[in-house]
Amino acid sequence: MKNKNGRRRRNKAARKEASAGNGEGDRLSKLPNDLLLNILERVDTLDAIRVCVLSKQMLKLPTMLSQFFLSFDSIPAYHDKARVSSLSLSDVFRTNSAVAHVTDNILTTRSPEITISKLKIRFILMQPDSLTIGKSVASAMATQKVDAAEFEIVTEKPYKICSSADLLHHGKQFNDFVCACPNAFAGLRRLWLRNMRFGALDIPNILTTCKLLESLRLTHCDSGIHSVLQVEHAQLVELLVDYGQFERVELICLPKLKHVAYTNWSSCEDPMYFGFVPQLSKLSLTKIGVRSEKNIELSQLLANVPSISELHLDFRSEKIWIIPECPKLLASVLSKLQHVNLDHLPEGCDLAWTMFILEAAPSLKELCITVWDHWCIIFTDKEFRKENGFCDKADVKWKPYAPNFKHKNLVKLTIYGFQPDDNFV
Amino acid sequence: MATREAGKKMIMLKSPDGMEFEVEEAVAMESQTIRKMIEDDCADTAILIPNINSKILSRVIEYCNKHVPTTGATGAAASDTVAPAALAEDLKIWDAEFIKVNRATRFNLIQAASYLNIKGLLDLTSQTTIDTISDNSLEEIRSFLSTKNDYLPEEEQTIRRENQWAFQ
Repeated sequence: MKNKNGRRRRNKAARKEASAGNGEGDRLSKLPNDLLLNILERVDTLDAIRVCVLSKQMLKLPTMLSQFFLSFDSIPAYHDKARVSSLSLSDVFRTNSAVAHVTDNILTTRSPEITISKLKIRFILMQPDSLTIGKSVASAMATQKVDAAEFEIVTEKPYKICSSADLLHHGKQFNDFVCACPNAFAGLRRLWLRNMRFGALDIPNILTTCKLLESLRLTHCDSGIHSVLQVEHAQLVELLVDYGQFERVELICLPKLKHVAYTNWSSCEDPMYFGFVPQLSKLSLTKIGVRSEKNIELSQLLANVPSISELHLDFRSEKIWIIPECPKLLASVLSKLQHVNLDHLPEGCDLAWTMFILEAAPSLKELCITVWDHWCIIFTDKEFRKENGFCDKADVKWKPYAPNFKHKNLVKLTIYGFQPDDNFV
Repeated sequence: MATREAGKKMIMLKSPDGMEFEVEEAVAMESQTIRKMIEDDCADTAILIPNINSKILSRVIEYCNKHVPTTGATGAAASDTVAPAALAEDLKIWDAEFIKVNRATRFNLIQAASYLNIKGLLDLTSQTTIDTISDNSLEEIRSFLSTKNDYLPEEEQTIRRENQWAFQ
């Protein structure tokens, strides 16, 4: 063994004389394949291939990868603030085409006996790229073992410049895409959509097609202004909704659902209805509250979900949009609650009301409160605030129910905040 | 904690170039490979670590010493309840210093971490190797990783044609 190594070393060294390069020990390609793959799987696949094309010896490695992450923004300089301004939209579109090309190439030439443990593709919904991606993923799912496939789909136009017609167009584009490659969607585990307005039955139909889906995220998506979305799915574990114009999201029957997050709903009433969600344990609600909107009563909202163990409420330094309630009403829905995070409470307001959660949740182990007027997220212009119904600071009125209240299980109480003052006592 | 006071069990590690390192058993067991040997009772006197020279082995031991749980210079039992976040931050800074080595040493550490099965060290060394590549041009990556261009000219042309996107 030693001999063999020694000889190889000499040969290589001899070959290298001419190039007068570095010492033999510092060549990346000297590492064994499994370690090289371990290194390459830490970056996105386009970058991994950029490394592999550098030498003949490493050229075969991409066919042995088991994890893939392909993204339209994997452009050198894209993450470099100084250089990103020199990039144009055509660079992005060109990379999107490269993503499609590489997806197709790598899925058809790889060693089929190596299971794909992860396949995540972030791409722009535009033809023919999407179709190439959809078709090659579908055929990989049919012929190879694909454990976790994930699509993150963005639209050509970012939300900021989308008209209502654009949103509808994106919705249609996506529906067409699903119809063209139903088999890819049938095997998908995670899906993130952005900037799409659907017809009333589109989202339920998409969910029917994506029968293995475990995680769905909708950002700036809806089925029309004031629409009601009804969700039923056998496998879905996680549902994340940000923005969008839903009047209400109704979780009708989601036996495996564990985690729900809703950020900035537009409804004036309760944004969600919980039906059959026996496993739901983690709920996050984030919202900049304004005057006209109804405050949420947890006893009403969570009437059907006594299983919540983790609750995260983020007020974005504005109005407190939940109503403290007496323990009698709340105890039955908060009985399993263990972790509560109250984030971005406006500064300078009395915090005594937060005690209502302690009183109603006997199993609570951890309460984290962050008090923060976050100038990056607050609108400070007085006129703007008035026009848009932002509230001035107001204490939430609340009086403890048990004067000598003691909590037996709380292990950790964290309060973050600038300028501590009397309110924290 | 008790063993710490009652005299810790020591293990002898030998590198192929004949150096011997006496380390605490807990430190050596940061390596899953050595842990298995110890648990299988194959580690009576000294463990020979093949393929890892004394220079690299001493660096590996230095890493394990720092990362063994409940280490902390003071070793007080109370210390691990005090701000674990600060402790983690401290470790991160230490790691960043630790990994400031030349490429050859880093690649040797990768191999050592892999053979000895020390996940934290393998992550640190591998991640450091690949960290800067996404913002660099191909030639920069080539020199940074010191990958040798071993193509014949006509082969290189084919590669460039087939992977045009990568060379843009």
